[in-house]
Amino acid sequence: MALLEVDGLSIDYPRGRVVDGLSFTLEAGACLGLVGESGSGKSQSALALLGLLPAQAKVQGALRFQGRDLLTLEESARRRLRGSAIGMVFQDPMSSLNPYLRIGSQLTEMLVVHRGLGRGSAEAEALRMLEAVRIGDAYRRLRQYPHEFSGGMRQRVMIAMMLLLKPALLIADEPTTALDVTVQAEVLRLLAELRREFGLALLMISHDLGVIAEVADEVLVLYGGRMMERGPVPLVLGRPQHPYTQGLIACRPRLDSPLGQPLPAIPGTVASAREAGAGCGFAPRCRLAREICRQQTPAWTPLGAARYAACHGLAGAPEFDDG
Amino acid sequence: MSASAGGLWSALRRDSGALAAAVLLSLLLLLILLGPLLSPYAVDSIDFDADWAQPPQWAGQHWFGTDGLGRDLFVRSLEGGRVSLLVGIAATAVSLLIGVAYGAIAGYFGGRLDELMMRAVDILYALPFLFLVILLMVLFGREFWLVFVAIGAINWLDMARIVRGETLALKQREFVLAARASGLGDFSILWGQILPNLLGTVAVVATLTVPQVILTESFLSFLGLGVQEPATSWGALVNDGAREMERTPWTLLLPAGLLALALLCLNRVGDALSDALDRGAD
Amino acid sequence: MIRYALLRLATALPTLLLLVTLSFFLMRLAPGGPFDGERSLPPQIEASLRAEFHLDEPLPRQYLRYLGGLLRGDLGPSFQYQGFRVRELIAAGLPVSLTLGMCAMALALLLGGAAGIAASLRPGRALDQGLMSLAMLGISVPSYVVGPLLVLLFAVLLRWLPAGGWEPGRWSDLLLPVVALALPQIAAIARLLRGSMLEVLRQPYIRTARAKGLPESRVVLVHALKPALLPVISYLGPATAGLITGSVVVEQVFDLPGIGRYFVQGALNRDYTLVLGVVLFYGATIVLFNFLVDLLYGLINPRLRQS
Repeated sequence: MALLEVDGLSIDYPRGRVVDGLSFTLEAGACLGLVGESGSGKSQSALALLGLLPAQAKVQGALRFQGRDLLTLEESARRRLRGSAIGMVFQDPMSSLNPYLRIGSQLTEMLVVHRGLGRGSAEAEALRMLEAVRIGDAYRRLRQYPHEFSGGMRQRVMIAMMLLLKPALLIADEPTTALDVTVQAEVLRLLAELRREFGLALLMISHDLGVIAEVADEVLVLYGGRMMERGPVPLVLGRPQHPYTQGLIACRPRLDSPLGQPLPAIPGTVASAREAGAGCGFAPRCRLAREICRQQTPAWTPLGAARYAACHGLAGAPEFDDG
Repeated sequence: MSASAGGLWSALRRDSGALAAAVLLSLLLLLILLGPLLSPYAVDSIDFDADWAQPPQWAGQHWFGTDGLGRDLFVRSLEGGRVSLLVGIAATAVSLLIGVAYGAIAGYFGGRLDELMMRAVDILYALPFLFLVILLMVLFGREFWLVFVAIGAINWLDMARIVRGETLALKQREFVLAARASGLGDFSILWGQILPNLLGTVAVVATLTVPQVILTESFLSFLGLGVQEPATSWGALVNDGAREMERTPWTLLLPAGLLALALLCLNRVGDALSDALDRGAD
Repeated sequence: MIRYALLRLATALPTLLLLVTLSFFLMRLAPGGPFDGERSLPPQIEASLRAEFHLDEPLPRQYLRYLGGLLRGDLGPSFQYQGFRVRELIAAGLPVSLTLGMCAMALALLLGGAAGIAASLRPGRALDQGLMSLAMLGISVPSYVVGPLLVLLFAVLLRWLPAGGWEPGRWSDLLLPVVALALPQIAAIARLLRGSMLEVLRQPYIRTARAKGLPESRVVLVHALKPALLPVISYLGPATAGLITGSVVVEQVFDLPGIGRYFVQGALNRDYTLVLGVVLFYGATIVLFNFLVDLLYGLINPRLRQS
């Protein structure tokens, strides 16, 4: 049994659909990367997993976590899963910690609320966890407020907080986007280490293929709320089958690109799912789009060895590679 | 925060509650202005034919009844309303003049002058102005014009703060920079470029100031320190009514109701406008 | 924190000095004022004023003497209540006024806070709209209208509570005045807290608190309420001023022997020294409260506390 099975997840708002037919599975201890531009529905999907979408969002499909369907679970039971079985780290560590509460109380309240621990033992565990995320002088740090920490340190605190209860799954939504480049690398390394240390499954959400390449085993590419391509990281990044994935890879800024040359970009603007009716959501921006792309939604086609893609251009396309 | 008059008006039209309040307020205003003409009685005339303290009768001569001296309460309530609204508008005008000039100068010239001027506002903010007004009245006699000036002088502080903030933002805008580049003097820029763009904000703050002023005036009149007999205002009428409420409850309820209605409508409209301003209605 | 406190004090002290100076010179300027001797005063008051203010001395000397007297807490003799000093009259009214004000403040914080939080949880729904309509009514209807109406309803018509008066220890005397005094403040605090709660509940750290699996009550009452209270704390200064103003009319309406009633009687009888003394007392109270509120604000806001 997979740790997490998402089956046909769709999210609708009054103004339209933001996620359309998302399906994937995540095994215990594995790491899946969700990639896409902003508006691709990756953060919405993550919030749906936790049950933190605003009330007007309508969620359809099945979300099975450890065999239980999250969507039919009672709110109180879902709440108990949050933080204890599923943790989540957010993008902006500056605003994601409560600026008016001490770090110590923000950490220990997890243990007090979920485990009923006393103050003393909760603090001892919090100390241990701060040390696990390599925060020095942890005892003094517990008594400080978030504004006394640097961005990278705050994200470490956030990670420590979400790992305190040893969850089976950690969702990281752009955890390094707001950080300096050098700090980014440290936090990514830390996440990879903690994953091994705690046997954690990681759902890594990023617009940055470099981040995904560093930590994920598998990658799922989203565009406009729909799945474009999925497969093991080396294969998808090495030999992308979907024109959108190819575009994403071509647009990565490279250190060795000649100075003065403009960065390549996929033409057009990001479409969200609500604008796309029938047809491939990416068709308006796709350089290979044909008539059929605008009329029929492409099927989710297996390409062998855990690889899938949804593109009309795949039929008769060469190189099915399991290399 | 910036808004055009048209944007504020359309924001008001979308908010049905505020629109209803505005309509009600207009009706009340009409009643206050025209109502006394409909009645044969004057504010201070005593109807010796009617009983003293006669209850309201819609079919009779005295629609709101009479007060303890046999004066027509309908005319007195509306006259009281005239005085209250007049004070409200006049004192708001005073506060508007001072506040806009002060705030625009502090915001436009900025720097040490701004710092000094705003520091002064901070200090004045903490003064118990209302009590100083009472002190003034005790020392200099209960002059009615003093009420206007004193209340206006209290309420300009909010206006000054808000106008200063707006001016600070406005002076960075292209059209002001362009005007300065073309060699226009400070005064011309303030008058020609800054002031017209402050109008929406000023109108909203003024709308919120009027009910505050009416509250202050009726507070003073309630204590017997504002309008003096035989002239009257809503606060004075509530005071009279409260003394006699066991025998003649209508002398309390009718003016109190009118006062509350006017304040409620003004606050509701002002609230809707300032919400629209916060949202940046265009 | 000490730097911050000194900074706040630097605003409070000039305000007090300005108040004292302003009132002294207003007094000197007044036509028929006590220092001119044009108004016919009881001879013994006249004499005691001359002695009190050393009217033959140059103005700056008089001013300094006056300041010196204030520093010793001396506000001079009352015109109206002969044989009493203003300080004694204030001291006599203080227990009543203080009880009234404290109770009203507590009630305003409790009810206003609860209403503000309740309204913010489901904005736009029936409860929110109902509470906010009531609050709009509350800020529009002043204490001197609410007070008589309460008397009319509960004392005259229903005969449940006394219409006024004061006997030490009889709590039923306090009920209506406290409610009349507190209502506008309840409404103001409810509106303020609802607004700041809505603002805070949108913050990313609230989403974090929910992602941690905290019960909603803890999210609201611990994570959201603490930051949302900051504007309410800033408002406590103006609220104090509002309560003092309100107490003047409420004491009048309910016939309570507090400072406010002496004040109104003094104002109507042109008892200069009494009015001046009470204005200074009220002013000093407001300034002191503003200062305390600033300190409290600094204590709750961690950024200010450490800077």
